Amino acid sequence: MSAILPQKVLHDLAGLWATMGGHADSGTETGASAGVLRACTMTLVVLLDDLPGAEAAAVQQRAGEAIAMVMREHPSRTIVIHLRPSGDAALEAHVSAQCWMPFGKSQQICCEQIDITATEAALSDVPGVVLPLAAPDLPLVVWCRPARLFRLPAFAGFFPLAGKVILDSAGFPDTGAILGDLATAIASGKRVCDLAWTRLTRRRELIAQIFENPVYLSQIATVTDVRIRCTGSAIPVSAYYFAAWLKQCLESGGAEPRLQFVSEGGEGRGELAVVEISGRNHVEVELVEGAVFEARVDTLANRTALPVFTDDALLREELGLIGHDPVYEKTVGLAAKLASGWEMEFH
Amino acid sequence: MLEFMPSGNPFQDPLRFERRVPECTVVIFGANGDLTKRKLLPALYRLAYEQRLSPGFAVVGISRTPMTDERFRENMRESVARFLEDAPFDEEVWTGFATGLFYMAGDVNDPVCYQRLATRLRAIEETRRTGGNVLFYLSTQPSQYAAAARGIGAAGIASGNGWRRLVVEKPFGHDLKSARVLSDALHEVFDERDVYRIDHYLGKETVQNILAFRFGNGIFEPLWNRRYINHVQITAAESIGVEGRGSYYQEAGSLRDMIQNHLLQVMATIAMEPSATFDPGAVRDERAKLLRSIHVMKPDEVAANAVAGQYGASRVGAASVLGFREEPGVDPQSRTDTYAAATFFVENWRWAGVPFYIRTGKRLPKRVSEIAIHFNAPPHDMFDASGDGARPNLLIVRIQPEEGISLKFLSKQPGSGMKLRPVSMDFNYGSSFGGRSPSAYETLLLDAIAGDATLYTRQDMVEASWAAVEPIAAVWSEQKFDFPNYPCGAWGPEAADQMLARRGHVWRKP
Repeated sequence: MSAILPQKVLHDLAGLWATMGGHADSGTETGASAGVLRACTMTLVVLLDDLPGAEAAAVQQRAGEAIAMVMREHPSRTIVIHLRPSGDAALEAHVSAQCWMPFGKSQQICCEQIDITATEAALSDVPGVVLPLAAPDLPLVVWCRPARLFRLPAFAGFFPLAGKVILDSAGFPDTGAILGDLATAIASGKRVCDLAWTRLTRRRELIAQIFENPVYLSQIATVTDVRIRCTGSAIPVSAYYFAAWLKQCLESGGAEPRLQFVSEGGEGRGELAVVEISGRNHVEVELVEGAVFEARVDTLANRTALPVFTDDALLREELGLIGHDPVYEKTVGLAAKLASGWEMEFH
Repeated sequence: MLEFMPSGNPFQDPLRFERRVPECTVVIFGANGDLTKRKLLPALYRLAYEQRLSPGFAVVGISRTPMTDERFRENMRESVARFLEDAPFDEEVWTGFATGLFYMAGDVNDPVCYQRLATRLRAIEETRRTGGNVLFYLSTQPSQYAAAARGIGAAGIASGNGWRRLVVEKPFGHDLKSARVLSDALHEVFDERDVYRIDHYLGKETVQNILAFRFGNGIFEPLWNRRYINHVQITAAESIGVEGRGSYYQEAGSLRDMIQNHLLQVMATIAMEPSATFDPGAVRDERAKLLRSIHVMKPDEVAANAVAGQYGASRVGAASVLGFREEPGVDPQSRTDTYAAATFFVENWRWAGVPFYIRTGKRLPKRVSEIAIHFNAPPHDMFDASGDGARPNLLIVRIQPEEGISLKFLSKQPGSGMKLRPVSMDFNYGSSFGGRSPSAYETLLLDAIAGDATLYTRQDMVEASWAAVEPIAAVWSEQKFDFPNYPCGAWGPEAADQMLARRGHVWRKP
């Protein structure tokens, strides 16, 4: 990592802005620049695998698109770390700007991006490079796109810098292990979030909304059974999260529900299909197709089209929450226990 | 504090979930009118699209035209698809939303209408499980407000299993006396706490942001007083004319239509004292206190502190534009003000001696609403600045379009010597928050359903506003104006410039 001189990178950034400013015209009534508007509300560090092959390239491209989309809502200095599995440790950095012209406006909004290439073996050196490059006085968030990096000892160096670490456990093969690591990190005071949990927000909201009705709310203590029906060959992480969250919510409402995971069959990585809450009322929330959910309470049914879970939509939600997330922090511990087989029925 | 999120719901996650509101039925009187089609239904649909409404949410539309529920749904579907702003129309969401739309033909002056409504509400409460919560929305002629409220009361539906609230559109009377008469009529049936007087300006994101800007930051409030602020200019300009509303507008005029309600509310938001909490009662108390502190002009003060205008025919660009008196439905001798400007003073320690200039008008050069806060110049000019360099600091809150905040200050121009040049530091809502901002009606409807009256006008505020503008209206009603006195496309009559020039000020040209 010695090849990267933070001062030079910062100098290049300043030069970039000077060049962009030089292209701007000066036609406003006050003479203020109408060309580009520099915006920055945080530093976003993105860790990406830099692997050969078309599939890896597609993953990189999707991540790049997500970063570009996220910047519009959370303008940031983005530091993208491209991690190669092996190679020369003498690495490089270059700077660029992501700009967009809001519809109907005459001024471009620009955010700066620093791309750093490193080997995975040098991961422990990366925090030392990131620290001087971070935008001062603003939060720093790390998006650890390959969840496996989170489990590497070298990743620990990011925690002192990061106000928040974002990862996505959905694709991680060992659900129990990653949930265990997340629970451990949170128990030690680290701020970590999981996009697999973020994907559940709108579905959790549907459940919460049903219980806004005082009639149903008053019946919570009568709930006896919770069934989580999933597709696929194994219980997905989302099912553990949802089950843990429901169990805790219902228990705090006075219920003592039995928890069942029910397999709906299928191969490969599955997903959470139907949630059933049975007591004096019977509540079901089912993924009907695509992103359309049907909420049923006894005989009343209502369909809702939820937003599609794109990476940028999930990131936007997480970047809007810098700080503790008590509901998630409370849930992840129980989810990890459920994933390790604690108090679970599976049919 | 508010009802939208009962603490007893263990599933709530306030950090992540959008604000939710209880189940309810919204009853719209005047359901076949423009407001319902253009604003109310598109706003409600959009709230449904964003899952802000509960699954059992229902709407009952009432107007004189006979129509089936199906026909009403079809009409509303067309309106929503046509008038939805900045958002896609989703057929699937509409299908779900439309199942909660119902219609009743009825006359607000006919007691039978309310008996039938009572039956309908009971049925909806049962089938949609609304818990008996009902929001009555008066989108009728203002002359029918009292009759509608009394009809609701006489039918016994002003109370029930859940809460009952009444939303009233402006105008809230046409002077102080009539405002009180209207209020008394509403209070025969509803408590003041259940009356929601809607002022859509207060629902705009930027107006709400004034509170966040002033009271969420530590650096501005110390400057927010007579020691540092020289004067304030509030502008609400329209480039269009009366657009087919000539007959209504000539009864109202810009002083009553804009200044009495929207712009004095904006002024109150800019100038109010911080409330101890963000509780609706506390915020509205402070707004009301400010409005009551506005100096009420004596008749002989009006000429120097208020200017009326009316646009005349002229050419704008390459097009000929009709004068107000030539507009359809307008009396050719009309004395109605299509432009009004006034200087208000606030009689308290914070603002004593600081002029608040308010202007509004039709057929002005552009559509813009903004608040410009002019700070005092430095006490000593060490740079010997002249021309542009002498401009004082200016903070501009743009309400529409391009919502945002700009701070103008001087900077050294690069190069040898000390030449100063004004520069602008801009915060732009659209570019800083990529998400779509809710429309004012979305915000306000959701607030009313949630029982949050922070952005609604209270009767004492209405009365204080009328007290401030009534002396102007009274003098103008006796005065003979040489109308028209400004051409379409100009920034109002010359007298408005002279009003500021007397104090050494100049209207900003936004």
